[in-house]
Amino acid sequence: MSWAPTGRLLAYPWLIAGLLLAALAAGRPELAAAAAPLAAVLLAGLLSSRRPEVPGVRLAASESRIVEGDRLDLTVEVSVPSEVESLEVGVAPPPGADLVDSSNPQVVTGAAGAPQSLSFAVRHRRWGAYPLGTVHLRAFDGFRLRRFEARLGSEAVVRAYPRPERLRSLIRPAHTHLYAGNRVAARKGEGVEFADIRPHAPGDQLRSVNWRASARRDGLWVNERHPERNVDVVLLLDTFTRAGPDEESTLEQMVRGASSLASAWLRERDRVGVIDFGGTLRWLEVGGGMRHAYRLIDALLDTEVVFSYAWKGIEVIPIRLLPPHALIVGLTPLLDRRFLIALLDLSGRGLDVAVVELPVESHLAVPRSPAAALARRMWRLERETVRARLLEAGVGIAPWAEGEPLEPVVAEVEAWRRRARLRAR
Amino acid sequence: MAPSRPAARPLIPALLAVALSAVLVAAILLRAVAAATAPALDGAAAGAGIAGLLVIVGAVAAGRSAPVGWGVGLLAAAYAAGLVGRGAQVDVLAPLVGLLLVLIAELSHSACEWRGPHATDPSVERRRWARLLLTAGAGALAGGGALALAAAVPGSVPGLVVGAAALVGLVGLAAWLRAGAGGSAQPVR
Repeated sequence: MSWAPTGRLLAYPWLIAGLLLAALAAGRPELAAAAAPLAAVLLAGLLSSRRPEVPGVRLAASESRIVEGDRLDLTVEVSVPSEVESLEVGVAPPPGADLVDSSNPQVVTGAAGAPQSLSFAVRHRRWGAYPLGTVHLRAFDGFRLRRFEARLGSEAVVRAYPRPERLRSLIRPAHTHLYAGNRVAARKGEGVEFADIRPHAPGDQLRSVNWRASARRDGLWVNERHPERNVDVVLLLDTFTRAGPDEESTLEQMVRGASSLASAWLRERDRVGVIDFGGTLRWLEVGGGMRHAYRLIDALLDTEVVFSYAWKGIEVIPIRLLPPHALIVGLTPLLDRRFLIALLDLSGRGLDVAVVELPVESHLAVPRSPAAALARRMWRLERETVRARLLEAGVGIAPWAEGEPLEPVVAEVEAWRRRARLRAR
Repeated sequence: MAPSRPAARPLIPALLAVALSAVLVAAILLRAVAAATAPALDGAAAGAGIAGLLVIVGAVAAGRSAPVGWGVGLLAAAYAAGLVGRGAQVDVLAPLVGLLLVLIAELSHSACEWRGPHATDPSVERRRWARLLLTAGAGALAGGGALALAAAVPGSVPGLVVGAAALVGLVGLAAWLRAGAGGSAQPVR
């Protein structure tokens, strides 16, 4: 352990020297006698002081994955070196995390070599991948003349997932996939959900006969059902730019929303993929199941805005990332034209596109001059035009204000899409 | 699992340090007034004593240990000035003054250290204070012996001081060399 002198070791030699010099100068042995207790403490302290070895420290977390805001218990296992009587153990949580309900630092004493465990509780304010923290060790020699310290970092990482919102309804895609799922398909086939009745035909199973309907009509009538299918959903994240400070930015909100939507769709046995469409292109192909859910949210945690001037269109997106009949849900603050063009291109190529808009108005300063107010009005009009263009292209869009629940937004998009489908018929 | 202990309260050592400083300053002033042989030195003793007391109060109030040494030094200077002002009479209470200076310094440092993030174990603290009092007491006894020797043998003060300084210096140097300095951290497993 590294060491540093305490205030005592810095002061006592000077005090002793001063008293001895004064004794010499004044010819008074009393001053030398007054220095004797200080000298005794200094000598005893220096003679008994030995620098301890860095103790073995084991830092472990109760979970490797948590939901943001949840309590995470950290355990520090440490043994007190034989050279010191007690060891102060403190934990410095990483930025974005706070210690809760535990005293920091704590002290361990006891027989040398016997490891002892200390508990610390931390709470992560927001989602992300966090190191466990740094362990600070501090000990003093027997007379507190020297302070021994060590700072030990951990390579382990804990992932704090965004807290998913409860979504009871989701955006219904225009087409279902062939694989079995929880979503009732529009067409008829083998399934559970009742669709219609029709006259019996050779080959129909006996169990599908609707005996009540058959009793009222001539001949046998059988039930038709909707098959349960799943859908492919691709979350397209606009990472060209963001608005707002770190913990309240549109990026933060986007990841939170994407996580909630992905979790909800995956719960319905649908397949979900994600594409970060911005300065860099990152993706995770569509997939389903618990393992994919973890993989997807881990990928979302690494989402970041990478600034770039390069013009990018949907041609940079590998074609396999956009499965046929997939529903593409864009999450965007509508600040970058490249993302808007990409949405319109996708819609123009016949893909089913919906957009959750992340409003940026709350992150803007209040205009302080008539010119600024006029510019703000023009900017609003421009955004209105963008929204109108998307709606005109058949892309349902609804704003999701910060702090508001996501469910009404999803319902609003779905309601617009339902109306559009009805109009199309 | 080791139980977490409440942090030590810095108010008690702070109050004790200030009280002991006040007692020491008052004793120096009273004895200087009683002797009344050198008014200038008495004034210097009073000034240094009060300044030392104020520095100690300020240090423990602010929780900064750096000025503590200066405060104790001023108290020692006040004692020295009062001693010189008393004339040739030997002060047999000098080792006790040294003991008081140690206590004031230790209490002030503890009060400052306990103001920041810290954790202490009461049994370890008790053992430390017992060890400290025993060592300082032994030092005071040794100082008393040396004082008696110096009083019995006129002119032995320089030899006594040089011998004490050399001893302190040698032992301090040996301890410093043995302990070494520096160190590095290693990652947690």
